[in-house]
Amino acid sequence: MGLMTSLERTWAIIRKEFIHAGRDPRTLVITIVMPILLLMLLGYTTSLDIEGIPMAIYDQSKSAESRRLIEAYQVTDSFTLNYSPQSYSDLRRLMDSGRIQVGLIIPPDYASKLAAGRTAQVSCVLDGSNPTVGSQVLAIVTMVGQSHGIQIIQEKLGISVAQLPGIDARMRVWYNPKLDNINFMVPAIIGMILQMMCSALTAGAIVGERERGTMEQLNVTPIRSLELIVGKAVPYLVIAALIGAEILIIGVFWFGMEIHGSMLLLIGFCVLFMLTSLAWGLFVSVIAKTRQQAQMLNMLIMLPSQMLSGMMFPILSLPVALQYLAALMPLTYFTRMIRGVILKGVGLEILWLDMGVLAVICIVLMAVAGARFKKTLE
Amino acid sequence: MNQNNFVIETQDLTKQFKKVVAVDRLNLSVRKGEIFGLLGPDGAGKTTTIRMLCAIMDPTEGSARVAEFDTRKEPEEIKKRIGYMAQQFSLYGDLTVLENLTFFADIFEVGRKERQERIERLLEFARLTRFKGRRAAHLSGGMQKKLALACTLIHQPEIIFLDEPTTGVDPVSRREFWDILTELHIEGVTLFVSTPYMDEAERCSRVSLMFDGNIIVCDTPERIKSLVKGQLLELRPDELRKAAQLIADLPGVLEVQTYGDLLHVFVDDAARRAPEVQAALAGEGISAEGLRQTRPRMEEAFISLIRKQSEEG
Repeated sequence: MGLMTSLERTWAIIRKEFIHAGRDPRTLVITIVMPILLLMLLGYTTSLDIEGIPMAIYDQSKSAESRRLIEAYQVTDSFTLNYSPQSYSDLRRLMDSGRIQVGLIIPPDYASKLAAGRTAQVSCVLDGSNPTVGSQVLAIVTMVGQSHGIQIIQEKLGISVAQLPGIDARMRVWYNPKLDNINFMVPAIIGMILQMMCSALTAGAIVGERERGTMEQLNVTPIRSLELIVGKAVPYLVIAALIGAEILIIGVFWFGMEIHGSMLLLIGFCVLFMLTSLAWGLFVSVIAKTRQQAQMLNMLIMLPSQMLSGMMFPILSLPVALQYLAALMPLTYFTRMIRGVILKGVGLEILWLDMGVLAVICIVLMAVAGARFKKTLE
Repeated sequence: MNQNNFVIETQDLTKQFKKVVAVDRLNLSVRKGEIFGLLGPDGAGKTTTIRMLCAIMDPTEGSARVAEFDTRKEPEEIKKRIGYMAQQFSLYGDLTVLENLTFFADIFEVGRKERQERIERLLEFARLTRFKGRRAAHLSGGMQKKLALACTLIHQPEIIFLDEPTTGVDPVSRREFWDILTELHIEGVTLFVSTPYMDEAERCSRVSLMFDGNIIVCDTPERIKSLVKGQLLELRPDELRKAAQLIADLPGVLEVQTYGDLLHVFVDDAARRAPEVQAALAGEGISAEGLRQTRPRMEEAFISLIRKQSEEG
């Protein structure tokens, strides 16, 4: 009696769940392929790296000096110069039609002003409709312009700036030296997908039994709630773990992401987060009556999680009220933990608090769901 | 067998949902080995009663003992000893017949040794041996019911609860299903069957009629039929409605029921009233075929009893 029979009943549920999965190969394939698609989509579309921004320069000066300025823009990878408009209206049309994002106007007196030792004004127009891209482009345009200006001054004075007093701010980027967006996103996507898999599949599996009426049949058997829950959860934990591994492998071998921290810790964090998501799935399953309701309830946590967890937008830039909301989302803690391990290579000495909070959320959800999960009908 | 050996006993069993009282102070007792029929129209509270007896729904008031255990205090002890076949198909459609049986054998801890022999016997018993590799969803309605029954029998329960087991099943399968239930009855299993079909009630040892959460009458089919006052005439008039109105007002007529094309007329004395009915109809120019005296069936008895109950309530 006791433990052995309990394990046998749990095993019966697990086996049945795997038969279900095998009988529905389409869903299985989607479950496995979807994360790849999602990773590719998010990996490439959320890339904010500025490269090859289409630019046009309306050169009214047509001098050796103006050609040197144009060259300065050409040598950076940030811009591609495909158009040479011959008028303001040309430039405007290019901008309106979206063929360029930035336009530079060199006035006719550019060369003569420089020769006279005066400041030559260059104007720049910028498509600011996407503020994130706009502000980055603005920074690069300014930087290229300034460094070209310094070069002109150096030539004029015949000395190098290095010989002049001043501040030389040397930048060193830590953790993600190339500021590669993919390194930032892949860990976050792992969190997002694990959450989606664990909570949606668990809730679906349990609510599905209720919807089909088979739950009523299970209720009149000697199976215990815990056996049923564990039996339902294990197959989806296994599938979610496989998918987590799949994403990590793609991240490392396809996107060239490096894992700086402990692999063991990374796995531990993932397991904790999967359990938390699963607990949410259980929680949903005791509330929802139909699979549709379960899906809606899952969306209720999924979308805010993605928006507020810091996976896409920094939490500190959120309004205070939303920051509190973010503090309730398991994904917030996991995103910080997984980025910490993968990007920064830090361990529990830094992440213990995040892990603790996540564990508490997990236990609370499990307790609430477990207490409400009954074998009696309402 | 001890005549007072009750395996199911309820005391003022009541279930109140938010607005409606589905089961209202129900008292019934079922003896070991009986086929106990719970009859009643849709919404009478049959399913709620069965769910409470199966210990998967708590009563709001009152109590029930099944197999000598209290449904509220020891639900798991009851579940080991009973089988429950829900009204709707509640097996796994994507699992085969054999996989469904094996799954329930696992859950009910049927030992490895007994299992194979028992599953084979049940497949044979339910006439499903040929279909054991077929997915449950691809079985016909009647076969699904038989598989569901086989699954509820896997742990050899003492009592089986069947909630409208033959609803939506063709007449041939219905008959076959009842033959199987009779075999179980002979083996000594207690059967608690709810049904809306009156003809099925005739096959029960005892029957109770449930209406509006209450039991109106509980007795053997024979005695229930004898509760109906008067004798029964049956006829097929060509103008049903007009004929019914006319006959209802004739002297000696107790009750008129329509049954498709037929009229069922309860009278105080069939031999005396039959010619009078015939004459009254002829006087109005209504022709009637097949006027004869017949024995009241459960159907007529129940309609009569429910009608009386509604008039009093």
